[in-house]
Amino acid sequence: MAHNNTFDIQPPPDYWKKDFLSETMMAVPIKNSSDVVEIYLDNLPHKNDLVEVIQNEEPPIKIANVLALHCHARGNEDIFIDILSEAYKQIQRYPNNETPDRPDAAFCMDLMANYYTIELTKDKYSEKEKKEMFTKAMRLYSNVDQLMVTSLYHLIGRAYFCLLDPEKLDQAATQFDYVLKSFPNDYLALQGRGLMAFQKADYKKALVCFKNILRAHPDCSPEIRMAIGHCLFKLGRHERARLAYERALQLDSICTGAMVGLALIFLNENTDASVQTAMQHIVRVYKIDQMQPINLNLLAEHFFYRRETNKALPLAMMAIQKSKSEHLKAESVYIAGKCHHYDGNYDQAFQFYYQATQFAKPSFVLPHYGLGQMYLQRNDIANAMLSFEKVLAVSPNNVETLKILGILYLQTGTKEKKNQAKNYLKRVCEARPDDIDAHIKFAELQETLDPEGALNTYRRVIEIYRERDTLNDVIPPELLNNVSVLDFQLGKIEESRKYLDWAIARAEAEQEKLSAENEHHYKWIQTTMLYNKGRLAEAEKDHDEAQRCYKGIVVDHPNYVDCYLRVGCLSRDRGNILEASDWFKEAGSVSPDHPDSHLLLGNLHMSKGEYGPAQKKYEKVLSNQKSKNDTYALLSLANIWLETLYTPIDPEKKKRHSERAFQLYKQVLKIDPSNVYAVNGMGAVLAHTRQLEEAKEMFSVVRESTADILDLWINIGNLYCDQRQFIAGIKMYENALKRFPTAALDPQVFLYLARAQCLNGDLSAARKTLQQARVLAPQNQQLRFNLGLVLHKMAVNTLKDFRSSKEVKGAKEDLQTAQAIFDFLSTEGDKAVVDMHRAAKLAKLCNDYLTQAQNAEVRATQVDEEDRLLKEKIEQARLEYQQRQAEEQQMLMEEKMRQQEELRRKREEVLAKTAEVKERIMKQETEPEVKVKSRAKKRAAMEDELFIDDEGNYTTEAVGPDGQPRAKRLRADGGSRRGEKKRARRERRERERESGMIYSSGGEEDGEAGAAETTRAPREPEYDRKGRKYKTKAIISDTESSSSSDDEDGSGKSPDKDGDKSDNEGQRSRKPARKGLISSDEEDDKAEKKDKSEDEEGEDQKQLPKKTKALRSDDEEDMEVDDDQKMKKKEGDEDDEEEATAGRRPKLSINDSDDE
Amino acid sequence: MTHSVISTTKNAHEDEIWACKWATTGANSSDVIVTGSLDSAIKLWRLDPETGQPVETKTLVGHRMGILRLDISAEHDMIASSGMEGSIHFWDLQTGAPRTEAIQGGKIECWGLAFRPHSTLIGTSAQQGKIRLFDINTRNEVEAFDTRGKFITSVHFSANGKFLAAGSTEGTLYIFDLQANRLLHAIEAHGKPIRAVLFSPNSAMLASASEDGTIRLYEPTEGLPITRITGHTSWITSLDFSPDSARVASCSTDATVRVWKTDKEKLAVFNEAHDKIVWDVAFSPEGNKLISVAADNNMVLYRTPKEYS
Repeated sequence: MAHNNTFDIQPPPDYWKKDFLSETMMAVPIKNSSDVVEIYLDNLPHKNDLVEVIQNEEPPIKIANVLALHCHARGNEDIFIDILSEAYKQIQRYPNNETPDRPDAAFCMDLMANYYTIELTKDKYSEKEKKEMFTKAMRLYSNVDQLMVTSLYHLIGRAYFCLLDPEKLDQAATQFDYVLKSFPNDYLALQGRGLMAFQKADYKKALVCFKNILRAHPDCSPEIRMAIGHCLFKLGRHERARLAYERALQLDSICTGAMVGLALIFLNENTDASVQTAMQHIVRVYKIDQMQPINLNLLAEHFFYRRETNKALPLAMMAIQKSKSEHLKAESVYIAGKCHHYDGNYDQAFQFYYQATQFAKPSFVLPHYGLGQMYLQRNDIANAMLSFEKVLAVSPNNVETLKILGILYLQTGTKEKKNQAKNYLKRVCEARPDDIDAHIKFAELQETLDPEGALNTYRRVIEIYRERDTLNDVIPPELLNNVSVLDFQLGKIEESRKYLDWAIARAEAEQEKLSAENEHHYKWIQTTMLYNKGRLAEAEKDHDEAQRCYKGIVVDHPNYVDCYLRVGCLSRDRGNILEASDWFKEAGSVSPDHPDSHLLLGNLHMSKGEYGPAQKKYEKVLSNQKSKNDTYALLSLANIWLETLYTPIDPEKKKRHSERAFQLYKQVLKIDPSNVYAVNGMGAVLAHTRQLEEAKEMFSVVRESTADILDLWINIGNLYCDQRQFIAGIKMYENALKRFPTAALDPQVFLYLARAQCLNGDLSAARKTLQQARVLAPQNQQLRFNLGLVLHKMAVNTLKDFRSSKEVKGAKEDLQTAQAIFDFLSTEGDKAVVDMHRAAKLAKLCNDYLTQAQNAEVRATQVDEEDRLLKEKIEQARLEYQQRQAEEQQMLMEEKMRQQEELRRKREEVLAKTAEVKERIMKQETEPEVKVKSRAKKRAAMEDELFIDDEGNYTTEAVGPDGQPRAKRLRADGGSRRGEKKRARRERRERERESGMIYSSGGEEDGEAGAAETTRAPREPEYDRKGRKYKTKAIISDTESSSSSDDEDGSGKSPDKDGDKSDNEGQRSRKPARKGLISSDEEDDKAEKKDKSEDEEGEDQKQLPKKTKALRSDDEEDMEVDDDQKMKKKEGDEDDEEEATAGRRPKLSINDSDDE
Repeated sequence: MTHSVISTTKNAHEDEIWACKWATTGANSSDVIVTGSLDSAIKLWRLDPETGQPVETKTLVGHRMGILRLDISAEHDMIASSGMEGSIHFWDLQTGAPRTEAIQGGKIECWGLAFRPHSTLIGTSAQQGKIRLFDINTRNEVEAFDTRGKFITSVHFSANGKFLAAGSTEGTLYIFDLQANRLLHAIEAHGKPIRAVLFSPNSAMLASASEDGTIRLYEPTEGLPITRITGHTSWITSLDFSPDSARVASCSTDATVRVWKTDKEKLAVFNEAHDKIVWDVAFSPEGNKLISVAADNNMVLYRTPKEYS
């Protein structure tokens, strides 16, 4: 502030006479004489003469002091200090400065020290001089401390001195407060205290101090009013501040501080008129004091905003020179920086901004913002971010900064920063719903994580464009294209097409308008859109159209590898492997380094089971320096090794292969620690090597990070089944089917489910599941075989334990169906898929059972007959019971009615009697009766009645029991009736028991339900038995399988089991070993079991790897789709960036969208 | 009038519904909807005149396994149904009573199923690429057409009695000339299995729906393509022509039902009607309504106005 540390020196009171200032002459006694030297104050002799007088005559210190003060009062400050210095020399001659006139000496030194203090606040000295003065003042004050520490003047002066040192502010405050305790109205102390408070931003305290001055010294300097104005201004009370400033100006028309204050107030009002007024003030101040730094800043700022940097810059530079406070200087430097920035002198601007950040107080963050911009200009993103972060730390809601930082974070690409960026940009979008740029950036961020959100944001951008130009369609085609892509990703094909068509139309329109330079840009966009159009056509299964699109692109852009790949994929999907392979090769020749062509070729080989060539393709990718870390290739390779584990190879090899697969998965994880497919693969390997728990752990790791991988679910399901936790396994498969639309089309998943259901003993569920699978793949013989097995097994179970001839008939039919199935498969089956010998055997078995079924039918008819008889019996019993019950009911009813009748009669009697009594009372004592109205009175009346009763005056025999006792009796009545009811029920139950039937304790249950129950009841235990039997049998069959081939039951079961497993387990299960297994004799028992378990594993594992592979091969389509899209986009971008100028970048960014 | 869903019959069957047909009964010309499900039951429905919603009138029990296909005789008197167990049952369209004995397919299943107009024959197909014609009354196989395919999923006779069409899992479409009793065309129409083949009621067009997600329309005599309908994002499971042969309805594993003009112009997409695989669709005899049945056990009734604009 301008009035920082300024105050006028005033002599101590005893020096002052009223006419001190009007004195014209002063006499200095001559040493050792009674003469004096007369000094005419209005016409001062030369400085040297005066100093000489003091030097030679050595007058009392007081004389020197007064003379010095006179000089000072007349503006001769240099004489003042010289005289005092001379006097000080004399003082110093005394030891410890102990002069005879001690107060005068102290005062002399205080005056000197104060002089230095004041001078220190001025700018005209060099640092060295300042330091000198500071030391002098310090020494002088400490001298006085020893002489007269309690002197008021000394204390105040010293306190002011302390104000100079920021570290001693508190000391100063203590001293001022100390003084103010004794002299609460001391001008200087109050002023000092006020200044101090102001400096410490305690504007309230400062205001109190200054106001106290004004109260105690109404004639104080106008600067006090100005200070009050400053305080009020800082406190935000601008109107009061304005009054204070204006008053100050009235008193002192050139009080620049007040003028600047006023200017600030007007500027803050920020209306045209007020700014103009402010400018008037600023100009006036400038006229008065061209060096006023705040004013200079204001003026510079003003010119800057008028874009007159040529005027603003010199003013700012001047302000820099004149500023005493660093904060002020920071402001000036910042303005200078802005001017350079505006003028395009970025280096200069950078330096000024940087300097400003050094001077500025922490809350003044604008220089950081400027500096950040300069860093950006220098492409120093890291430092730019630092700068902007500083800005944001102080003003966390600054939209500009949020936006810039958001965009910068976006570019860094780390996940954490991106999240933050998302957060920032979201806030920007909320704060500025019309900011296209921010919205686009925000949408880009959302794309990967929240495509729906991104879509909404893009839609908002489209809206903004429409709002801005309601007449023309100015929406950039890139934007529309991105919306289309997002819709595509979300599966909204129709929407996607709509936007893509729009985008294409827009691009065409735009292309016509634009210059040659832009034409290229739009050509590129059109290519991209044509590609997207192809993708869309593919999604809508319009492969011809898709092919047309891709081939169209290749004509213009023969290097557009993705097109070749897509066309290849189209051929592949149509089953045209050769053509597909040609296209992939073509892609490979166009861009040999592009891994995808080799990968797709590898996958083609894999799909045909050609592991060797596939391996070569993958390895080719990995041998290329550019793609040696391609995780897809690594994974594929690992999957091949895994796959081999399911082929019959010797254990040594198996071990080696599993290790190799494991290593490869590990390698993938090293490159991409978040690759869940690798973990999944590791799990599969572990499961294969029977490390089930470890495998489980692996899978759970994957599951934690994502649940979106079908194979994972299947693998976990398989694992559960391996551990014989079939129910859990079934749950896994079922959930997978629910969750993944692709799974619902994959018969293999159904097959796993059916197998688990079978193993779990739920054959009818398996039967259903297999039917579902068959509808998906009618021609699949494996499914048909398994269905036959299930039918066969179910029929056999039924024949063993049936309840009716209907069941037997059904079983027979099922057996016939099964037989037909096996018949067919044994002759026409595909050897690669089903075991035809087994089919033949099973067909024969079915036939055998069909013969047996005839016996069963006979028995079944007997059962039916028995059943019928039993039913009749039961029916009879039921009828009897019903009859009995009806009778009982009848009796009860009659009884009830009788009772009720009686009751009613009694009640009527009573009523009649009461009425009688009342009547009588009414007749005799009408008056008290009248009161019977409110309830309270009623009781009184009752009492009256009772009373009357007691008196016996009017009683009749009947009335007596009619009062309260009546109620009691009623209750007793009810009680007895209830008792009856209870009894009735109990009786019935007893009767029921007798008749041997158990009814539920419901009330009057209808006969039908009861009957149903009875028929069901005896059966229930059977169910149980059956269930149990069933299970044990299953176990038996497992163990007995080999030995029981001739035994009816055993043979029926065991091959079933085998068959189930083997078949379910996959096509590849047709191994000679299996055949041996089935027909093997008892000796093989153990081996067999082992075999079986291995087979099982084999199956599972086969599935496991298949799954992992499927990830890539089956789902490849999808995956590829994504990849391709990404790739395509990326490429596009790169092209674009090359061709685009920096200025066009934001638009491009719309298109980058898919990069992430 | 716009295309819209009229009503959804939840749990129309206890399990996935695989087939549906909609026919007028000859007698009182009231409509009957027939549905067949994995639960092995066939159900008859009629539209309640007041609510306009399907009401179940009868459940036909006889199959041991899921109902694969349904067909209605040209005389509107008989329903034929084929089950996964490999038999074909016949039912009275009006009463739902079983008619004659079932035909047992034997080793070969009955996936394709179609009455041959103007005859007592019914055609069926599955493994071995053979189309077998059985006499309904004697239940004897009287005729067979051979294709080179491994598995024929669907067969259909043209209403004019001239053609027999069959679709194979290899994606090949076969057209036989019934008058000359010979294979007329074998068209490699699709890259994936054909799910359904169907002649338009006017016999002028033959449509094939495939797992490749497309429907192709051919002129049967020359075997030339007329148009190709695309838009479904997954397999097309079945299709039906409107009685006036001007429109096609299709259903898909993408859980949508779509209606097209036969010149491939899209009329309607029903995205929300089902949430699982839609297995079959059928136009009402007037062509102004449509039903679809799906793996979600539901049956949905739609309004499909003729006066599309």
